[in-house]
Amino acid sequence: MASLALRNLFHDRVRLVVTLIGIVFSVVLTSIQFGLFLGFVRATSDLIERSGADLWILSKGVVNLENGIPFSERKYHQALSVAGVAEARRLTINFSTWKRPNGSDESILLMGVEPDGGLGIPWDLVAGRVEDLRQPDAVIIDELYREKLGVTGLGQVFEIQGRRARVVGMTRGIRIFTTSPAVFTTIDRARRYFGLPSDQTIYVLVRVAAGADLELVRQSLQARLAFVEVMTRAAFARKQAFYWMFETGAGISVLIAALLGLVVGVVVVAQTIYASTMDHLREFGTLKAMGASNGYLYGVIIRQALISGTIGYVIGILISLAVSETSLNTTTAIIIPWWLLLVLFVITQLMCVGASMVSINKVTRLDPAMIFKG
Amino acid sequence: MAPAIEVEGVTKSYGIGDAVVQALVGVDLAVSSGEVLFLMGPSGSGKTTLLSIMGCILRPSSGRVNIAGQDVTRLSERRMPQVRLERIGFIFQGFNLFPALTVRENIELALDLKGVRGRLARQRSFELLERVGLVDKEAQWPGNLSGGQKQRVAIARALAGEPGIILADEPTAALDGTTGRAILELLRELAHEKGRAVVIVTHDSRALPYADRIVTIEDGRIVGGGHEA
Repeated sequence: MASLALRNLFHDRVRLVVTLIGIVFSVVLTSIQFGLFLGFVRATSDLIERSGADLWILSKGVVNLENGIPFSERKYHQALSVAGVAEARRLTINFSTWKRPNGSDESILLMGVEPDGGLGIPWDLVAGRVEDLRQPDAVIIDELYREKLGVTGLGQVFEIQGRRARVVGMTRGIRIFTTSPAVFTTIDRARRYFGLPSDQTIYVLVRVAAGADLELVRQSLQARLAFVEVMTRAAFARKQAFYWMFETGAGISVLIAALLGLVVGVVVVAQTIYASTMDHLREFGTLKAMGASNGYLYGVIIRQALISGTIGYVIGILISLAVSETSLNTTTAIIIPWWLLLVLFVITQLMCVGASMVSINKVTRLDPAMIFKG
Repeated sequence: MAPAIEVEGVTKSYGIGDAVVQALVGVDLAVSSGEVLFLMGPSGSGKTTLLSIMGCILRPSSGRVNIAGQDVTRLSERRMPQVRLERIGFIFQGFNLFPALTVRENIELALDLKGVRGRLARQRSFELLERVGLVDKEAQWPGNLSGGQKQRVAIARALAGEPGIILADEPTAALDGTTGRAILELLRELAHEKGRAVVIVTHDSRALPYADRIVTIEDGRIVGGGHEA
């Protein structure tokens, strides 16, 4: 009887609030932890995913984006001659040093790009244009790291590796997992900052011609170019995320925190649903005496759990989405995609039903004397 | 005609080994349709255990229980609730109404168990409330009723399934004398007018005039009974 489940829940508002707080706590904890994990994963691979390149050419032995190994530009020219390659661009990425106005140094990830092309360039600009990088000493930073870099506005002049750098534009939302902000400049300037020979590059980004088979082009490039590795964007992004998340151990702690959130959530929900059922134990006993089958009792208890779970989930997710939205203005994004919402809904309902199973066991073993005593 | 309830050589023990407690020892009892039987005895004598066994809530350790001529002793766990649903109505000392449901919904819940829903359930609950004189309270919450009114609702609920047997555990214990007598009068009417077997567990000696028969139980044995009140 659906109304009994509903009425039981809403009759004792205090108990309902306590139950919902438990479920909401669990949903928020779990969703935020998994959202953080996804945010970190994205931060590790966003530079690859948003590069616009279908294929990445990199030195063999490179284990992560930030620690690339230079190779001859000749390979860039060779890549351009391979059938199916529509565009190829060079890209350098190095850790470098940014001197703040107060004289302190800040580690940055210096991105040397070709501003004329469409690959590897900064995206989501909120001030300035990519073409502005052609101006002398021009760099583009992300506004999330303004404070970290000591930037108060466009036109401000700083030093990178002791050389002049002038902020001409700002992006919004380019987060870096290593916490060293990405600073974009031209590849020529980046080479000078870093002291890289002008005939060297660290990556070559390739856009495959429309209609060309990605894997065939990748294989052709791999066959044509010696001593480098040609990876699809997705494969390199996976490699990069796996490196930071698991090989360094940084992501494992986040993942463990997320799983712990899930475990804590299960315990909290189990405890609250169990306590709620215990409050109604006498009523379930009465129902049993009246001839209700175990199936009927299970139905009431499970419906109560599902209704609680749904209400708690909706409140919890609204809170989590609000937190996630707020996090987009920070360097640590909490990302809650639609599929995570679905997964969390299923998990929440499973938690609630699972928790109610403990209660069901108790109801099944009810002492009949308890029903009769006043 | 077979008795509504027949208990033959029923024994019930709890625990194992040295910790075994004999709650009932070789109990024989038959209750006829239309009869009001009082089950009396001191606390811990086994009254509630016997009531639970007669109500198909507990299984005896040995012996046999017949409900309306049907041996229910070896019925499966799935069938036992069905017997309670079809044959037995319970009335409790603490009323055991559902506080989250209105008076009418409490009765409709019992009807829901029988598969009676919607308009038919509303009509039937109205008739039952009319029978116990509480039509004007149908939308009230149990918490707003007096003890006597709650017990009347509980009786109406027990009658919802049209049971041939009513088992009542201390139905007047929480009521004042006047209200208690009214409840007992109502239960006696239900037995005599509708031919129901009514078994009432009570300590209340003021209730005795309402009994057709009184059975006394001590230490799990029937020590006095069978005599007409």
